[in-house]
This record gives sequence, structure tokens and C-alpha cells, in this order.
Amino acid sequence: MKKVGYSIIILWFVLIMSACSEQTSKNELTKTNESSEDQRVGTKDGDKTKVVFWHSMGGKLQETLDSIVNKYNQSQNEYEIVAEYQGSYEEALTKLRSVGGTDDAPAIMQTFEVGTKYMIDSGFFEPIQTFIDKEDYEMDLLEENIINYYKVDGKFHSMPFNSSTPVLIYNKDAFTEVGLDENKAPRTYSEIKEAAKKLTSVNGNVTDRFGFSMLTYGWFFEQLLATQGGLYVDQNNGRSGDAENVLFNGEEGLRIFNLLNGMNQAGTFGNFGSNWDDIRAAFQSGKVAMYMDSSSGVRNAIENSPFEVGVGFIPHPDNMEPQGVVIGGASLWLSKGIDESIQDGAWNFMKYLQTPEIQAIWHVETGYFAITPAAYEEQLVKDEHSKYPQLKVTVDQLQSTKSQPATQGALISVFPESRQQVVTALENLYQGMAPQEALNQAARGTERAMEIANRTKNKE
Amino acid sequence: MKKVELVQISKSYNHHTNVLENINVSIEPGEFFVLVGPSGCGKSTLLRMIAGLEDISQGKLFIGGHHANLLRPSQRGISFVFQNYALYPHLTVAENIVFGLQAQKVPKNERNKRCIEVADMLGLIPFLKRKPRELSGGQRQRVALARSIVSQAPICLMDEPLSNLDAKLRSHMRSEIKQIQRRLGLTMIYVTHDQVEAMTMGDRIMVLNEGKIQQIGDPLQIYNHPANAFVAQFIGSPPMNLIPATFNKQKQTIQIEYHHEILVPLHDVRNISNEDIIVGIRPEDIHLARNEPIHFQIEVVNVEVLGTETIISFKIKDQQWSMKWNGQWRIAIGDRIPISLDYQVLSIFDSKTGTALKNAKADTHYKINEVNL
Amino acid sequence: MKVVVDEEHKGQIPATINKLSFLSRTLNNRTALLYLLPSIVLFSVFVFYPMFKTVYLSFFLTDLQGRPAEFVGLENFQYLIQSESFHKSIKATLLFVLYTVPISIVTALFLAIIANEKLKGIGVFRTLFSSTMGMSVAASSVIWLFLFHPSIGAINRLLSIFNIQAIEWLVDPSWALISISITTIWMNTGFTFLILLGGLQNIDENLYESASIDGASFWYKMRRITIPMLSPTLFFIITITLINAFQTFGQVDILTKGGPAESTNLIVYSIYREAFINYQFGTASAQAIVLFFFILIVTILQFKFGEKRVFYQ
Repeated sequence: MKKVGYSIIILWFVLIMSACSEQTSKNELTKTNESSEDQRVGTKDGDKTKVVFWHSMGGKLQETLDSIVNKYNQSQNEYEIVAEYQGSYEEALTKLRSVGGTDDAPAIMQTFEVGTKYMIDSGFFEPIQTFIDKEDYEMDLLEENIINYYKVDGKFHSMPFNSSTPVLIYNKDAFTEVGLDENKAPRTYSEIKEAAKKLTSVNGNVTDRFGFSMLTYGWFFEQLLATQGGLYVDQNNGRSGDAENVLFNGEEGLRIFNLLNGMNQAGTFGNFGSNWDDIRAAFQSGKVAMYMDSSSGVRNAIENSPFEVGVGFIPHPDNMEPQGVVIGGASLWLSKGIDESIQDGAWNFMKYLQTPEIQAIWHVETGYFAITPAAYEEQLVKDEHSKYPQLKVTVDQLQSTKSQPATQGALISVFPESRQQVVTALENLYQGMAPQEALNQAARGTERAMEIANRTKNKE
Repeated sequence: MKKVELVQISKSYNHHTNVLENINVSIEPGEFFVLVGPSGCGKSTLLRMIAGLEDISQGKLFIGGHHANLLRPSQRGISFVFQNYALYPHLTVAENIVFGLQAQKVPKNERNKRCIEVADMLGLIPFLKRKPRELSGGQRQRVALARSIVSQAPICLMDEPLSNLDAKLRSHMRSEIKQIQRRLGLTMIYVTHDQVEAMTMGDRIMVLNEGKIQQIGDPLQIYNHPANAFVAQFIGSPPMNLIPATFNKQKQTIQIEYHHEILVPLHDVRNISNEDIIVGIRPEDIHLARNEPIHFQIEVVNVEVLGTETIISFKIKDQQWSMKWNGQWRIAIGDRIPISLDYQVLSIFDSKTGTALKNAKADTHYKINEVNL
Repeated sequence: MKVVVDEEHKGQIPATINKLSFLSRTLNNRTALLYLLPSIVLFSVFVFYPMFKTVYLSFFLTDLQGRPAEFVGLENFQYLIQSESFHKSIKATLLFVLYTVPISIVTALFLAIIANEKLKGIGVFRTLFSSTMGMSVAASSVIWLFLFHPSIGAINRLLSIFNIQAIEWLVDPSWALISISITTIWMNTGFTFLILLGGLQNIDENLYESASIDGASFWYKMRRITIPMLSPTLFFIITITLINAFQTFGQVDILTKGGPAESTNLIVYSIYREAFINYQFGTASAQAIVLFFFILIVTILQFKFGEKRVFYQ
């Protein structure tokens, strides 16, 4: 027993040490929290009004956002923005659910686009239309597509902030290697299939390089659906009323599943799971020649790949006019029922974020779109685009998007759950489930969630 | 019946200090050999080395004439009874008894036969279906014994097998073990710290202290002629009274304290070379002084009347002595009694080495033995 | 107390006597209650209240804020019975238990037996073998996330040295559950090892020595002494490992998020997803109750059939 006792003591040491290191990292995380005294909505502290801002920009994005916040805080003496990282969009939403409507809620909350409907229904937030009307703020300066997404029932509920769209990223060297034109990205399904077939290289029973891949993530499915003009749900994608029925398992959705299924069966599609890093690593290490990524991942792909990288529009079925893409990303929400001066501060900061100079910095440093087209005229952006001409493609794709309910994006409150259903459907598809069956399963799951949401909506 | 020989055996755990040193002894077939000594003297280690449970650091072990140092325990033809009996708590008495036979794949019929035989011998038949925890201490002891006997090993090793029993049971088991050993003709090597067990059971006794042999001999030899002060004090109950004294060569006297002098006969003077000696006297050799000229006046500090004898304790020079008188004596604590010390019954030891310089004369004992014979 | 008040009408003295006797009669109980109070309070707040709340919620549909909005009776349970996804969850959970529990225990037992030898430097091995106990689920999962990485993971690189096709550990639904199981077994080993080693060290060395003298082989000793003597420890650790396996969450969340194709959507993860991603606290609570009964049944079965083989000293 003595020996065991000895081992236990050592183990404790290890434990305590690891706990210590964890502690320090936690401290770093909470440091920003402490400075705001109990994460309040904001406080009037001496001269400056504190405005708490919850966001989900981790890593490099957080650095950029913090520097912008600092810039703002130094640019004026009235308000102090306290930016707090709250984990992923989902995690931040979970936290919000427990404090929403109380004094602990933030003044500004960043939420991803598919949370829009939920945020509206929650009733915790003041539509920014109120402020727009108050001072006749010019929203038309923003990118049209972005306006289309965030304008619900002719009203702005939240301020668009970081936006991205999907693109096709491909390995130019591989294209040349197999005799494809490296400057012409495949656009239609048959072009994609053909290119993927050529690009796939098999060695014995090991596939060295797959032709095409797509992250197992609902967002890409939604985009491929929208570009065909296909609706996700009824009621004009949930924009004319609460959606009740799912439409994504119709012919448009089936085309997407058939495409993926065909390539998967032919062995030209590589499945790299649902982790962004994994699929990006696969592309950069040459294991896949074409894949779909977010526009915000373009610069990273160019910089980290040991080969030339090309960027194209997302694929669409043959003989069909592509409709464009749905804007992805997140917007900023302003809390209801808080001190007016804090609201003013929040609004003031939101406006500051829309200025072309700030948008230029944001676009260049993060790869997100500049939501104000004027930003593209800034020298900073021009320089960047001449350095990385591929970035221009993402902007072109967004600006060539046709405005209609499909590309406005669906509004349903149970989007996170629905995305999960689509992910499962894709995974089942790759495992050999019939495309229609897989889609129908996801549709049933989504419909049940919508039904429950509708049933419980006004019963508080 | 096998002979066990230990030649120059030593044991060391750390290559520096020996816990056992230079053990030489030859244990005869059928002999009841007792290893006795205070706790920590290395007697259990020695036994475990014979059994093969501990490595032998140096020296050679022969069992039945064969070099056995490297033999596995099961190849040595031994059985072993542990101090805590090492019964398998989850097995019944019968299963415990035949455990070893089963391991050696003895056929079932034979197993049962031998089990019943042994259980019968030890009176365990009614308990065969019980688990060890449902048995009394004595019964458990018997199961351990049965397990050892059933193996039919010619050599039986026992490590303080009686120390967990109460006094009455212990004395009963002493004779039972002795009888079984004789009946089966086992070579028994028996470890104990209890000198009574050693004296009553052993054909021969080895007294160990601090890893060294103090003396080997039969019980009376060791009692009457202790090789040194340690053996003298270790064997016998109550123990031999010892006291430092000085030997005055000119006066030919032994001086205890200042005023007690004992005259040494001329023929012994030569044997005693040191001035500093230890004088020892067994409790039964101290008598009430009747008309003797030389006597001590002692003050009684404790009296134990045991029925047939009385043990009286007193203090000499800060040391507590005891004396054992036959019969029942009514003595009160604090009584002053004159006692006499006869030179004949004194043992004298070298104060430095402890070696015996003179043993007490034990003529009277021999006489009684002769009468009995 | 009402009785005492009534007694007062009968006269001052008897009332006092009664009062005293009532107080003194209940003195022991009241003292006992006082000592129990902290645990009663803690249990009520952290165990009983959530338990009743779970049962309550399982009869409701919740709105987007997770508030119970509509009483639906047993609809949530009916839904679960029909839900294919939940069937998959149960199947995955049972398979997971089957994969992890026996292998964890056999592995840990093997390590404990070899670490029970009295050799020089054995302390180092004991520390090593038990070291996974000191690691959080998150940390170990992240380590395995790297090992399992499809293109740059260490395991696949090792396989490629031997010219074996890379395995898509976490992406292939037929491997994902096995990968999670490997991670779990690895994480279980430390604690299980330590408990079993403690159990082994409590076995009287003399039993083995006695068996050696009797000529018993290693396997014979293992079968007849080690396993029976270790049975209380084994029983304890099997129960704990079983319950833990049913409640596995962290490694699933970090490694696979329940996918691919819901192949690792263990019940607890499914509950989490239902409650904290979909905000269906009702369905989640219903699942939690189903899980509770699962564990209850398994534990009862284990006590009923397993405990017979356990020998308590």
C-alpha cells in the first residue's frame, strides 16, 4: 500500500499542476470579464458609459475585433465598449438563453445568421429599425444581399456585421497536372463530376487524392439549394409567416444529394468529416483537389498551400441559371429594456463598425466581406485584392446574386437542429442510404422541431 | 523423512548488513527442531529460506542430501503452516485442505480419501462444509495443520503457528502437534518466540539473536548450560535474574552492590579472569535464608501466588528480580525477607561478551530425573 | 406541538412534564436530523430537485427559451419509442458499454497484476499506469483527436509505414464508435488500475506463498485465489465502469459530436444535444428518464446475478 500511496501523491502533483495551468488559461479568459464588473449590460462609470458586447470571434478574429474596439474606445469619450468572447455562436446563444432579458444580458449580442428568427422570437432585443427611423440612418449603403437577408418583414432587427459566402477552392497545380484549364473553375455539376474524376488518383486500393470534397455541414447544402432557387421551407422560406413544412427534400435538394452520392460511389468524393480544420488540412496536404470553403477561408488556403490556389463560384446543376448565394455570418443585436444611454452607446458602436475604413480593415484582416461596398474603394482593400486576386471572386459571386426568397435565406427558429439533421442525412448518404430517404429523414426531423416550436411559441 | 542441512547460510537484503549470518546446522530426519528467538532475530526469514520463499544470499541448503538453493518451493518436499494460517477465506474447510492436491492434479477419489483421513485425525469432520470465518481460532489452526499433513510432505515447516491462540488452547495444541509429528515421523522445523513452546516441544532448540546462532542443543542443555547471558535470560520463566557484579581476585569474592560478597571456591578462581562480570541466578534457586551467615535483606514489591508455587519480586540495585518458591506463601508487599545466594547455583558471564564463565550446578535436577527414571 | 398546547389546558405542571418529555423523547432524533441537515439540503438542491424537475419536464414541450410550454402527457416517450435516432442512440450506447467495460477491466487487471510484483522501480510503472486518472476527459480527448487525425494523425502514419490503408477513425461510422471506445478504455485504465492494484495488495501474500508451496501454477493461483479474493473490488469497479460507460459524454462531444451518421450519439450526448442545442427539454428529460431506468435495470441485474459470485471477507 505504501507504493500505491506514493503513486497517488505523484498523481496529485500532476493533477494540481495541470489544474494550475488550466487556472491560468481560465484567468486569461475571465480577465476581460472582471474588468466589466459582473458582466453587466453596461454601467455608467464616471465619464464613460460601459457597453458590454458578447461575441464569438475566437483566435485571430478576436485580435482584430479587439483592436477595432480599442480604436473605437479611443476615438471618443462617451462610451466604452467591453468586448467579451463567449465561445462559439451556439455556446454564446446557450449563455444568452439563461441571462436573456435580465440585467446580466449584454447590450450587444453577436449571433449567427440562422439564429435570426430565434432572436426575433425571443423578444429580448430591440429591433434596430427603431434607431434607424429615429435618425434616418442610411442602410442602403450596405451590400444589397446582406440587406435582403437581414430585412425581415421590411424591418431591420439586427445590424449585419461579419458576412461570408461559400466558394469553391481548387488546386491549380493539380488541374494542370491532369490537363484541366487551371484558370477555368468547373461550374456545373457535370463539369464538377468530370473534373473530379480526372483529379482523383488511385494507387492500388489507396486513394492518394480525391477529386472533390465538401465539409459535412448544413450550410453548404443550404447554399447549393439556394443557388438553384430552391426553398428550404415553405412560407417563402419562412419570410411571410412561420414555416410549417420543409421543402429542402424536393427535387432541388435531391439533385444535390444525387451529385454527392454519385461522386461518392465513383470514389471521386473524399469524406473528411465535419471539422473545418480536417478538410482544410486535407486540401493543403494535397489529399483533395477541390472543396467548398467559406469565403473567409480563402486567404488562409492561399497562404498555407504549397501550390497555386484557384477560387470559383459554387457549382449548380446543368442547364440552369445560378441564382447566387445566401449571405452567411452574423449580425449584432441590441438589448431591449436597458438604460437608454447604454443603448445609444451600442447603436453608436454599430454605426462605427459600418464605416468603410473599419470595414476595409475587417475585410482585409479577416476575409469576411465588407458589408459596405464603399469599403472596396479603400486603398487598403485594393492593395489586398491585387495581391490576392482570388478574393475578388468571392465578392463577384456575392454581387452577382439575384435577390429572391431562396437567396435571402430561410428564417426558422430551429435552424441549429435542422442543420444537425442535414448533417446526419449527409453522413447517412455517404454510408449508402438512398438519397431521397436520407433527405426525407432530415425533413421529418426538421418538421417535428418546427412543429414543436410553433406549438409552444405563444404559450408563455 | 529427510535431513535438512544449512551450511554457512547468510541473508542480506542490501548487500551491506546481514540479517542472518553464518547459520550452520544439520536437522536430522524425524527431528522436532525449534528455532527460537526474540522478534526480529531472523528466525522466520531463516524458515522462509528453507521453504524457498526467500532467496539464500550466501551458503548452501541441502534437503535430503540434495542441494536445494535453487529449487522451487513445491520441489522441496515441504509443507508450511503460516502464523496467520493462510487459509483461503472463500473456500470451505474441505476445499482448503485439498487445495494443494487439486493444484497438483491428484485424482478426485484420492483427494477425498486423504481429506477425510486428515480431517478425522484432527477432528474436523463436522466442519468440512464451513468457511474459515465460521471457525474458532483453534479450528482454523487445525485446518492449517490438516492442509500441511494432507500434502504428505516429509518436512513440515511451521511459523509461529500457535501465537494467535489463547493460552489454554495453545498448550493443548502444543502436545497435539508434537504427537502428530511423532506419529507421522515428520521432520519438523518450528519457529516460535515463546521459550515455553521451544522447551516443551523441541527435540533440539536453536536460539537465535540478531541474526546469529546463540546456542543449539536440547532443551535441558540450553536451560542448564546457557552459552551466554542472552540465552540464559531468554530461556526460562520467569527469566534468570542478572546483575552486574565485580570479581575481586585478591579476596576471591564476588561483590554485588557494596556489602554483599560471595566467596568463590579456589578451583573456579582460575576460570574467572575479568573483574566485571554478570551474575545470574534462576528464580527457583533463591531461597529463604534460615541460618546462613551471608544473606540479603530484600523488600518485596510484588507477589504472585500461582497455587503450587509463589513468585516473589523484589528490587536489587534498581533491577527487578524474581524468585520462585514452591508452595503457597503468604507474603505482603513491603515485607522484608532475608534471602541467601548459594555460590553453587550462580551463573557467571563475561560482562562484555556475555559468554558463560561458569554455569550453575544442576545436580539436584539430575537427581530428581534419576529418581523418576 | 399542538398536543402540547392542548395539554396546557389541563394544568400547568403536567403540561411542563409533557413538554419536557416530548422534547427529551425526540432529542436523539432531532440531533440526528441536525447532523443530516447539510447532506439533506445538498441532496435536495443538487439531486432531488433536478430529478423531480426532470420527471416534470418530460411531460412537457418546451419553447425556444426552454420553458415548459405545453403539457403533452406521454407524447415525448411515444416519440422516443418511434424515433429511429433514439433507437440508434440506444444501440450505440449498448455497443459502447459492451466494447469498453470488459476490455477496460481486463486491461487494468493485467496491468495491476504485473505492477503488483515487488520489483525495483515498480513505483515508476505504477505511476505511469495510473497516470491517465490525472487527466481530464477534455485533455485526453484532445490528445486522441490528434492521434486519430485522418491525414496527419500518428496512428495513420504508423499504419502507412506498414503499408496499411489509412483508417478514417472518426469519420467512418463503422470505426467512430470503436475509436471513442479506445479513447474511453485508455481513460478508464488509470482509475481502474489503481483500484484493482489496491485490491490486489490487500490479498494476503501468504495465500500465494502457500499455493506456491503446494505447487500451484500462475493461472491456477489467478483463478482460485486472485479472482475470488478480488471479487468485491472487481464488483465495485465493474459497477462504476458500467455506470460511467452509460454516462459517457466528454469524449463524444470533443471527438465526434455524436456523428458520423449518429453512430456515436450515445444517450447522454443525445440528451445534451436535445436539451442544449435543440432546446427540447421535454424530449431530453424523457431520454434522461429512459437512461435512468437503463442504468437502474443493469445495476439491479448486476447485483442480482453478479453479487452471488462476490466473496466478502
